[in-house]
Amino acid sequence: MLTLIGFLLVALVGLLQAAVLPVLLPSLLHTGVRPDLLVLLVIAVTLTGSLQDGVLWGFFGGLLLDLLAGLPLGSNAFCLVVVALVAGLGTRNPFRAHLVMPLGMAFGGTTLYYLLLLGLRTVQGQHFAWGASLLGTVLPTALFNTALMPLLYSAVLWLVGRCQPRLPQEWQ
Amino acid sequence: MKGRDRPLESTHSPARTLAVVATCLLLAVALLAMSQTAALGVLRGGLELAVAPVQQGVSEATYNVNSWIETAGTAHNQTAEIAALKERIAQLETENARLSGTEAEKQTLLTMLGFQQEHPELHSLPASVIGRDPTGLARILLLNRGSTDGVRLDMAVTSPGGYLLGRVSKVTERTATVLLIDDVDSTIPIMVDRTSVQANVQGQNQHGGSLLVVHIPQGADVARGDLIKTSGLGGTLPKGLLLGQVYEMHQKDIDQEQQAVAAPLANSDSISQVLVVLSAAGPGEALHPVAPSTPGAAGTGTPTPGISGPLYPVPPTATPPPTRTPLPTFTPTPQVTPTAPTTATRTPTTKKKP
Repeated sequence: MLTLIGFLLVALVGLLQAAVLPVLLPSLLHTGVRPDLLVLLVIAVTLTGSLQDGVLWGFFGGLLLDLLAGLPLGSNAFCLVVVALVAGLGTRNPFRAHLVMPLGMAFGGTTLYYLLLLGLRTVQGQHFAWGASLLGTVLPTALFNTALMPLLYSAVLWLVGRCQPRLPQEWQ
Repeated sequence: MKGRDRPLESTHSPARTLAVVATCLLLAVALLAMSQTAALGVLRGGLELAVAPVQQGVSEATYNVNSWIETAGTAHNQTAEIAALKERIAQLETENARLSGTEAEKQTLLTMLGFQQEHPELHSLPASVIGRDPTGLARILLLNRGSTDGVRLDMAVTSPGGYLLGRVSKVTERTATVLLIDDVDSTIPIMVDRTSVQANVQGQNQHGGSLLVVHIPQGADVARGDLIKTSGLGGTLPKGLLLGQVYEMHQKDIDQEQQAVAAPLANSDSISQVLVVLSAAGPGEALHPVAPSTPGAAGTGTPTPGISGPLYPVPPTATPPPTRTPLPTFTPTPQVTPTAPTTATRTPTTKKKP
């Protein structure tokens, strides 16, 4: 159920991220920094739902992003699946339920996602000024994502709570 | 989480999760490895065929909303400027009045007609921008036109007014990817409009800049405010497409060449309609910058930083892209018209470094 809803949600967020935010955000915020909603979504669903859901959402969302943005198919899918895997490590952490975990994962996951993307594109022959990219794009986006995470995490927590089977009250 | 809201930790078995993870990773790697092959191109074409109408609809709606936001934001900026610069009140009010009426649209249409009459040799195809790199790491645009529409690799892509935006770097059946001129992977052979000095322009966006003019011979006459246009060398881009304006010179006497920093003339961040130059009279054929019949006819030019006073009659707001006006096929429909720098204050500001 969560996977099915995830596909619809990821399609919506992918469309938002590829076609809407790059146009609207520079006018609204007067900055080139954009949130990576898909990265946040994948991390949040991995932490609150399951690793499998996170990986599936990441793979599907990444493919959609590649398709919508004209990027090599598989690049975003690969990066988001890896981010989901890393976020999956957080589910074993005793601080999983603490807000620090999603915040830390948002920052670390976004940084990892961009490093992987930069690495992949470098391998594919594109040129990057790594220092400028890290300071001008990766770091601001990671901070932006970290600030957005509580909002998105709460929304995903609510969604997962609605979709997944629950423990009977007497068992808790 | 408390009480009834607490979901089960996981409903998936470890073996199944492992299988899903492995499958997704392998598929992603396989797709990456095959991303340049023809087989994947067919698959991609089919998928794009399915999503393109939705993407185009969303893009058009977004551009409409964006034009409202930009208009509102510009109005706010104009108000602040009027308060700060009393002497410019009359001028700003005139511009506001013109922008709020239909005069701007009329002038743009007149300019478009002028551009078309000036360049009968230029056959171009209107296209809509339906996607961009969401990460901002690559400066690309995704267009809704592909090989079935006649788009080929390395074709020039301009703003509606004829400013060079970039060149086609990838084509599928239904879409084309445009590498913008300010991407670090972009190098364009250019010449300075005023003195015909030849050089190259390299993109600098990922380095935090815009355009870098390199290989300018030492002693060549290039000054702040100079317009740069394609030289046609290499034979892939038509000659004479304006693309930028010099705003800073870097010269060292000990070097054999000088460099200059330039700003692109077209605002690629909010552009929604572009022209793909399908063919000129021949590779390297000259195009000539068109001066608008009236100063207000210029469109969304990018103000050149650091130069006092506009070198172009750039209106204080970006003209909303003509998404509501159907564009005739195979007809150049300029929104931005290159204008002669008649009002330019060409004060050489060459920085001489010891």
